[in-house]
Amino acid sequence: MSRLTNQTNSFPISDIKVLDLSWGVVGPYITKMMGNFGAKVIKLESIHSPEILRRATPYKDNKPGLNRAFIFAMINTDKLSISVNLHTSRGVEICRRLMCWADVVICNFIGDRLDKMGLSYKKISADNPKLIMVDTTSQGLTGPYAKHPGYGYQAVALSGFTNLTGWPDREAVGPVGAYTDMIAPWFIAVAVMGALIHRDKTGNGQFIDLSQQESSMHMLTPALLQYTLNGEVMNKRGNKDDVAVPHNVYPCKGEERWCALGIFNESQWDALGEVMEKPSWFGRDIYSTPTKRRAHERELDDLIGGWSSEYEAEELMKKLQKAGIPAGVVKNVKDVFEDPQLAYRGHFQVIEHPELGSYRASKTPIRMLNCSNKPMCRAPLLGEHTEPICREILGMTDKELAQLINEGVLE
Amino acid sequence: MVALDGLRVIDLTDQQGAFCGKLLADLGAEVIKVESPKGCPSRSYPPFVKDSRNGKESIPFLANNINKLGITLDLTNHQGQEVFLKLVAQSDLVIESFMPGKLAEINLDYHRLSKVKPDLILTSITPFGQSGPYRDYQACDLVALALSGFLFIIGDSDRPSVRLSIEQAFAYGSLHGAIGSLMALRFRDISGCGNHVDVSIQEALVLTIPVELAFYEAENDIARRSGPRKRRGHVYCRDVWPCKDGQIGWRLLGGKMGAGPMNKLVKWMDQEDMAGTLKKVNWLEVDMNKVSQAELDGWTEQLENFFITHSKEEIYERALKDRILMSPAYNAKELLEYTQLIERDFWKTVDHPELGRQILYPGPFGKLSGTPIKDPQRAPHLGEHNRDVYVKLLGLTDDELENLIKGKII
Repeated sequence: MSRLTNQTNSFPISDIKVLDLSWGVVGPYITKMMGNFGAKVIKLESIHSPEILRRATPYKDNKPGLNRAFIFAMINTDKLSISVNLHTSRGVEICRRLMCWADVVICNFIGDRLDKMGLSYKKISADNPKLIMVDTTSQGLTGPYAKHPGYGYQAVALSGFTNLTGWPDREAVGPVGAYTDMIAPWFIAVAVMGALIHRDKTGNGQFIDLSQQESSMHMLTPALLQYTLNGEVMNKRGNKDDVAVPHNVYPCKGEERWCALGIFNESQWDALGEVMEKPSWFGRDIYSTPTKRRAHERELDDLIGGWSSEYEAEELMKKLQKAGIPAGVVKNVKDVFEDPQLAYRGHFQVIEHPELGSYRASKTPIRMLNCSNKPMCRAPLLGEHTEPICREILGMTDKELAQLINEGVLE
Repeated sequence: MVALDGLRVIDLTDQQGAFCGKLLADLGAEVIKVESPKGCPSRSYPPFVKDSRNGKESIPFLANNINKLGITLDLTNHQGQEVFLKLVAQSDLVIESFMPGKLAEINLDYHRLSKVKPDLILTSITPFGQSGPYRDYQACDLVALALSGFLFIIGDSDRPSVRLSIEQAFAYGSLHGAIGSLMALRFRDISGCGNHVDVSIQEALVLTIPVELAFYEAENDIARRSGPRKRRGHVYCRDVWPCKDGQIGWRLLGGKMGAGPMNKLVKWMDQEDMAGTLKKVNWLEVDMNKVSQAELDGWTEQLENFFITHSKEEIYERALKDRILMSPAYNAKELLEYTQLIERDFWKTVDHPELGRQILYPGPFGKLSGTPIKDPQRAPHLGEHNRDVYVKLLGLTDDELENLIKGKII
């Protein structure tokens, strides 16, 4: 169990112990990131109500199983798993002791679930005043809607993203799945790191109430200020940009191959003309200034689309980039796995797993010159580390362990 | 009490990394935005405040530079660099978002800066990172989203991909810039070691598609655009449902988790004689992994017909009462009026003396009990804090400052 006891300072937070009581994407994504920077992370879960992502498709060979779910495996690297039945008082006691062991606790309970178990921040911090505890929910822990449970799919609508994604003449489509689930974790990580740096100096822990709606809305501040400053309510507007024109996604050779590009200034416009070998329409007066181009954006998109279709997306991106024009292949997930830049940075790490075989998981996008990222360890099997955690951290004897397993407190 | 008390940050970023300094300023760091005497290009980024004095007050600039101090300095000039290095010597962190190699060109790269301040942290936020085959590629928001896999899956299937109407890529990368900066600061505190932090915006954005990555790993499945219908295992189902006056966000669920609320919804529909075949479904036995697309489409049609007869507030009220996991899709105006945000004191007034009024801004991104996040202060005017920084902090005399201004270095 060197993973539990190893105390080195080769990573920014290798001395930090994290207890993860959370479910789904938001909490586990933060603790994954903390693990990537060296923290020791224990995920407390239960076989009776297993974490939602252990029950989410896709499974290995399409065969359901709590240790066979890929999304879970990807965002739960670098964690140890203890399986405890929290419906027993001794299970709750184990959770309490781990909360006292931890520097950071991450959870996403709504309502008074923790209070009822006697595990509120107020109680625990009396024994562990250095604790930094985060409870992250859809709409925060106070206010009239605090108890309304919510998934990311709702938070996306509630935070204003849905209305701002789509074509003006069509129904709004909303962004990638539960987008706020992929935003909130990083705001929480910023808050936790701030709190840790403060604690290093003062010895004081604290409690963080993080509303996924409130934090995610900060990704839309310009739209909010456009209303409070100018009284204008923004709406979805396709790929239109405030500066660039043309600015869109254009078809390329092959099925579902596309290249995105934006023209932000006159020198890029001239460069585009060069790359396109100055077609006859290029010099027309109606395209001679950004304002005129804006007025004829649609025709311009069609003309560029007709031209781009003659090229492979990759080839077109290189040609445009060479001319100094921001352009990129609209990569599908396969392209992303094969992307040369991500490969150069070592973004994906191949990880061996007893039930999944090998799989690739994402690293943090942060590299540091004077301390490397920790190589990732595979996601744990459910309850894989129950025994070593009980022995090494909670100091249990064989007899105690056997009894707790017998009584169904440990699973 | 603030979390980053006593921390000084120099912010050299344009719009690509500006949100990073904003986050650190929220946590209480003193963030000094350094602009060329002509002003940061992001000041001329539309849309603009309508009734501002010069008609050129950029809204994205106001959004990304909250809580910062602003000074001007010509970094390409020898004398300007001397002053800059003095400032670096008294700072903890420098954030920048120039194209890779640009700082080395003007002889201000990590190597030079760390000579002045050995435990300095330099954080670079760029589209693709400091090295690699795409290092010198140009990227705007759309292009960064495209190359990360985020863009491909958003939009209607019969049209090209569509991005969000507010830029996301730079803020998303900047979040990681802030995390990286804080990690490096902590590493400095425990090891005494400075750092150069290298953040790739493209790489950060890959973290938005874990579900799609997982489906490819498991089944070589390539996720595609599917409009408001989103993938659910092997079928497509709405996450977004049109109603009378807009849309709601909701995910149809059966089984142990979904049956309770689903039965309540069907009961409501039945009260209005609109439950149709949904009444006959045993929702406890519905496994979304096994439902056929045809079956799902049948349910969807009846649900659509029902929702369209109700307003989003009616639906939300009922959803709250029956604990159905449904929420309205709000726009900026509705968010300003939303009770939950008002009750949580989310909106903060910010003085805008140049407009002669106060403006509401989004408040803290989280509630920290021990070190609350700072209330927002207006982004600085060009060179607004020159005197504070150059005279009070660096100890330049009034004459020295005057000379630098005359020489157009400040």
